[in-house]
Amino acid sequence: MRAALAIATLLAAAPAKAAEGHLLVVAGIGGDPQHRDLFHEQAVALASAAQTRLGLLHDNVACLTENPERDPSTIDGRSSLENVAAELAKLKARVGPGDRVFLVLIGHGSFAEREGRFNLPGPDLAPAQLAEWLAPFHEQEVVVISTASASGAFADALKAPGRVVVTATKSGQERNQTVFGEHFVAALTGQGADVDKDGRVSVLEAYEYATREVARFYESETRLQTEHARLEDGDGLARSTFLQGESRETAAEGKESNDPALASLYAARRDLERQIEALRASKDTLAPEGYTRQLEALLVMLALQNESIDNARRAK
Amino acid sequence: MTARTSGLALVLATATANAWPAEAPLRPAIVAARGGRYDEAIAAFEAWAGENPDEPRGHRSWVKTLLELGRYAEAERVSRRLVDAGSPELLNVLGESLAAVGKLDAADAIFSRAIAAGATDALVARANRGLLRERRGDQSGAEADYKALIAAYNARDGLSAEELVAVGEACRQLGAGDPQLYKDALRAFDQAADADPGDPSPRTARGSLYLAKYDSVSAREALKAVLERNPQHPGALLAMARAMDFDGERGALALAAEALRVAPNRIEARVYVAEARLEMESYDEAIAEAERALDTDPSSLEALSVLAGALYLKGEDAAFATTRDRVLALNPRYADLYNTLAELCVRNRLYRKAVEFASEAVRLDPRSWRGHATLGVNRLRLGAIDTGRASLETAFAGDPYNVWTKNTLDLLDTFKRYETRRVGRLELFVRGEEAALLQPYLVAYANEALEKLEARYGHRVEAPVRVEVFPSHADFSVRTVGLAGLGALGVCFGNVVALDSPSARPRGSFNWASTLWHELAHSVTLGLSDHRVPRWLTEGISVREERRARPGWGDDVSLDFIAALETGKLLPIAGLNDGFVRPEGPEQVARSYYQASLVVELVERDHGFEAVPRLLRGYRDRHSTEELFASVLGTSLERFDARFAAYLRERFSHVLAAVNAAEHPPEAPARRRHRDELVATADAATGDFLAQLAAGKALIENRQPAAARPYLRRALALFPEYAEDDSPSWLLAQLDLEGKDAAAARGHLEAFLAFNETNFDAHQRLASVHEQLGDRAAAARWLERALCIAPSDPAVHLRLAELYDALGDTAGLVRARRSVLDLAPVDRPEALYQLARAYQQAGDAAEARRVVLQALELAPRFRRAQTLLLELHRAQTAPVGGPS
Repeated sequence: MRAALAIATLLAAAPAKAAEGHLLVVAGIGGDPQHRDLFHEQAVALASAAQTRLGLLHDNVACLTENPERDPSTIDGRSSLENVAAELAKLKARVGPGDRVFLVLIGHGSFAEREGRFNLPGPDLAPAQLAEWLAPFHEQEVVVISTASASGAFADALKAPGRVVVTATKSGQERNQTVFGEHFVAALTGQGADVDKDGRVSVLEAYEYATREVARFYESETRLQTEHARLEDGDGLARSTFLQGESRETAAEGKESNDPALASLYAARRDLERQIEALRASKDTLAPEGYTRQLEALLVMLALQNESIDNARRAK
Repeated sequence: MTARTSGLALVLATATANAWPAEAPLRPAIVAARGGRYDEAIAAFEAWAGENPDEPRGHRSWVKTLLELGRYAEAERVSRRLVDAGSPELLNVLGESLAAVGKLDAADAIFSRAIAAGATDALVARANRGLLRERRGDQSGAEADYKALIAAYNARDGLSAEELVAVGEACRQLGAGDPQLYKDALRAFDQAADADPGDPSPRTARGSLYLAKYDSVSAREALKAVLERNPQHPGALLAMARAMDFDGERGALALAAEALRVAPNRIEARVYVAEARLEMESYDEAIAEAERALDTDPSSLEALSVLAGALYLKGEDAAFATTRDRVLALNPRYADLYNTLAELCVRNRLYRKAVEFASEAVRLDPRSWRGHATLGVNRLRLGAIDTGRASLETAFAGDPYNVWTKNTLDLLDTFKRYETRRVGRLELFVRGEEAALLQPYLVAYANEALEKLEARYGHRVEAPVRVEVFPSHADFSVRTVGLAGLGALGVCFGNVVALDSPSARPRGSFNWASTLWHELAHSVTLGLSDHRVPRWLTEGISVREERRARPGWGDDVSLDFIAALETGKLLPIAGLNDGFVRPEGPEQVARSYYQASLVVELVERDHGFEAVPRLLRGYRDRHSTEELFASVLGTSLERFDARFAAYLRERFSHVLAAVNAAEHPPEAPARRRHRDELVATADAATGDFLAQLAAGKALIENRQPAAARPYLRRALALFPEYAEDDSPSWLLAQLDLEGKDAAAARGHLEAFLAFNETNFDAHQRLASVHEQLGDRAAAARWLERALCIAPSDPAVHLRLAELYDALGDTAGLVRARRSVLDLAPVDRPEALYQLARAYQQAGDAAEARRVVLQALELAPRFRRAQTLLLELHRAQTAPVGGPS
């Protein structure tokens, strides 16, 4: 009876709007054909993947580049300073509380007279200006990613509660062209960075993937590494913030929660996952053989549980 | 001593401004002597002496000039005349004349007389007596004289330049017990130079001291100042030769020869030349030089030591023992006999013997820091890390200026970051973060190399065979020679080899596996010859063995080699060691490696392979190259050189006809010419390799691939071995790939890689082409070869895994998956899962289970890994029910 009541309550509350993800990609000025192409390709790849693979709503994705005419179906306008401001203003009007807002800056940066700049066609973007534009997003989880050279100069100005800031360099002094962007975009749009295999790539996973690949790049080229990425995450949001919405598994679980048999199986699975988590947390206190034995037993049960869930789904 | 030393610095405020006689008539002689116009100086002294037969100070200057020129008999005659006449002022220089020719008792007595008589140069005589006593093993007597000098110095103002140099020498000799005294020695030399700016002695002494303390830059600066005033100063010439030698610069021997031209009897110059000859493994010439030195001074410890070294290296054991005993009879504590022997052994790769000799040196004189350092470095070379470190710590405490010791100790401090792992006969020493990835490949190649080489040469290398791999080239260099900047990629000390890790150099700059093979070939040839194989032969065999190991490995013919062949710049066998030890430039080193390998090929062709191990065994039995060429090859060196020259001309006749080295010297590229001009030249000279290549490249640059092809094909036919990055086969392969002609690309890539071992891209492309053409096994083979250039590219291992999976090669699959994991991928659970699957395919369920659990521990929701775990679980146990 109590369960039925709870379901009824849930159904009554259903109209509440789920948190959404929003993405604004800004590709700055390339300066030469090679970089124009590179920045364009990265921006378009990210914006496209957001709408297709990552499941963001079409209206929630905006993309500004130096040459919008190269791909009008994906690119919303030229990446001028006023257009960036306008897109952020539109975004502010659209977002709801708890939504995730991703701002990705792809391009060149500079650092002079102790101030960083993100190079746009026309006037550049300064850290203080961007901080001002982002200030109204205090009810959202905001993630700012700048893959530009000297982008570390933005980190201090942009860091704020409820906000994650990722920059390709640790400071404005690292002014060489970076490779962080291509790896970060690859992480967000591909599979390789989903280390915990939950079907989604968190900001932290993408950051760790990109920093590792950047280091590998310089090692393989036998070059002194000239970029060291920086993560400002005072609230520890990077681990639990995803450009993608729910994973397929979680989404399925939500949809099928009205099936009692499946709901029971899901509950049992969650319980096993909690037990595994607790066991992992106590690893240092257990003898290695005992830990492995218990872990294996739990993992086998979890695998069997998933098998049962799959069978139950198929039987529906 | 320290208090006294600081007193020295304080008291030494004044010195005699000008120690030279004021007599105007003598000045021309002195000026001529100081300017290196020695004949003029001697004539002027003689003329002056004729008019001033009893004036001692002028005679002393004359004798000193004669001593500088090594004219010891004349020096003795001139000084003795005044001594016999009762002047004490010539006693010291008489003593120097006697000491220079080994009349040690007489010299000691004369120096003592000079001191007792209170001659104006009595302090100098005291320094000389100290040096003499030290030379005879009377350390306490020597120290008493040195300390007396310092006491006198502290007590007196107004020392002359000559006296200050003597004080400096005393401080230098005492420096072995207190390294701070070297600074006082320098101060004394500086003040001597201030006291008499025209006197070359203080600056020469300063230069020598700097060099002895491993500072060749300061040494050369001081010596240069002397030589600018007197380009013929024998002492400065020799010290400069040693400084240049220290820096590995060419021309040192020429300077020593110049010193000997000016002063043929100068013992130290003869000794230097003898040492240089030994380094070139020219033992007979070294012996001749040492004996010439001993003709002048039969008691010269340095000459006897180098003679002992030459006799030892030549295998004349009885004569060696006699010479050694002669040295020890003269000075039973003369550690530098054994230090010299140890260092000569090092230069000749006899590291074990070097340790024995250095041990003897420090036994004779526990303060022989040189001995401790040599002992430490060579213990390390034998793989004895702990005792090596202990010796180096001792050496550094006594001689903190030794940069080799310091660098090596600094390197040893990093050893804690390395992993040592014993695998069978191998002991692998690899930096922690690289160990897991590199070890399986090192083991595979090292074992294959040892197995094949040991079987071929009939010699088993003593275990453990230690392989050290350094991710920093500077560290490898310090490990090898104590200093950064070594150009080599690998080194072999016998059963210890060290090499650059693939991560130590830019991708494509070397092939670590062929380098390892090369060094292990040295292990075999050094072992078989008891480390007595000449450098050129061991290098030649190693390069030859590289080429035998894999197509494309090892040095191949280059334009530089062809140019040298054409212009007669290749070295004869008798001088081939110089190409390694004293090369004219880096290109001569590369050329010599290749040339030596061709010598080996010719020996094999004409005398059968067995002739090569016979040569090695002959060296072990202490036979010379001349003897072995006569007994094993039935020829003289000269006849062999002639045969070799003919062989080269025949073997490379096609290239010689196609490359005009005089017109296209490799070091002077032609001016940039227009494409049309290049094409016209190529059309007019279809047999000219460089013209064809230049036209082909210009047409490619102009995006005319079809037009480029005929020129490149002709170039390839003319010089198929040319394997630089602009090789026609490589350029044609790239055109083939652009044109999607996989079969043609395969041919051209294989032609290119038959002579190139470092082009990573070409290896990868050839693998792709093979895969495209359906030959997965060949694709995998070429990717494995690519790993010999760059093993840390995860993409290559992933491709290999897919290939081995398709080929059903489970061992290869496991290795490839393991390597991906060892490269610390971000997605570690995925890599673990793939490795677990590979183990499962290989039938190793236990390992598969262990690894998949690791994957799931990191990512419990990993569905594919869960599925695999269930498969493994069900295969092992009875079916289990679902969770209760």
